[in-house]
Amino acid sequence: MPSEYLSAEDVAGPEWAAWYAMTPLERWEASQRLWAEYVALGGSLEPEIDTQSPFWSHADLESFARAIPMHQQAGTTPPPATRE
Amino acid sequence: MSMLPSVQIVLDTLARHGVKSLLMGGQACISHGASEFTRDLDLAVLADVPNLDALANAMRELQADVIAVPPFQKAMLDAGHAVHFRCRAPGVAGLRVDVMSRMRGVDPFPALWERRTVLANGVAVLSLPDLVAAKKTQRDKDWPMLRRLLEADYFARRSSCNSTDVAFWLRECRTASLLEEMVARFPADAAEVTRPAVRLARDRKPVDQITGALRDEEDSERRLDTAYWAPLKKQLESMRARPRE
Repeated sequence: MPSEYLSAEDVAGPEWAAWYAMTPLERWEASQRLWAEYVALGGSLEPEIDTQSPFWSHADLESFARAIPMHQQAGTTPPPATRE
Repeated sequence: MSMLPSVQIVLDTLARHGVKSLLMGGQACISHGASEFTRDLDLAVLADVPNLDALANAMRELQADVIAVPPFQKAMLDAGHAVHFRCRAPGVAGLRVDVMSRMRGVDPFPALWERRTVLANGVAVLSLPDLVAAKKTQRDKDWPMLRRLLEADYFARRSSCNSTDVAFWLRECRTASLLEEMVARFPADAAEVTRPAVRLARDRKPVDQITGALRDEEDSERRLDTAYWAPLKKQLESMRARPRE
């Protein structure tokens, strides 16, 4: 690649350049590791409220927002902090 | 591939029931190079009767309930609505799965299926050009994603690209500095393009003018998406107003 061409670091910064350089598989795995940490901390599985989404309605909130923390569900591993 | 177990269970269940579906939304964006912290699974599905029967069987196995509106009906998918499920089966309890069949500016499902990207684990994902088309919405969060998707593709493949790739980048790239590079690298391809942002780059106009043209494109697409959804939102409101059976 000729040096006069822009690098990913120039355009997007080092973190994004590193993300772009990964394979689809590597990106997916990295994302799943972050997800696992989020779940371990008791994160909700409900999508964030997105008032710009055409699907969003205040009337649906009650139905959409019954969040079930992953670690409280059957078949999942408790977060590290609760393991003895 | 190590995937979130619940996502893998859903995908395995769909595959076992022979459901023709493609990952889209945040999960697809991640595989194509953008990044979105997504908590649900968004799928494009073929809305013919056999496939919807297979999907219904898979959802029964996942103990999935349809939540909110619309109901899970072929007519709703054909109209462009998304149907929302929440799974209750062990290992997937709480997971949201949203399915659509028709999106604004996106080809019918059979064409999407022909162009699909298959990940190393066999999961079928919307192709990058189709994902880009699907992400041109009225939502703020989708536009930085589009920029990232194009940047990732360009940097990964610019040294070994063909004319189809170049045409795609010139048509969709949302980074002014990269458009400047593209018109310098691919002048013959760029000469054919009427897109205002490309024309400005070709004419060596200041970067803020190119950025302004990109912003105008975005504004136009967002208006089109809002107009597209207006009658669908009315239908949803009407369904919400009906007493639950």
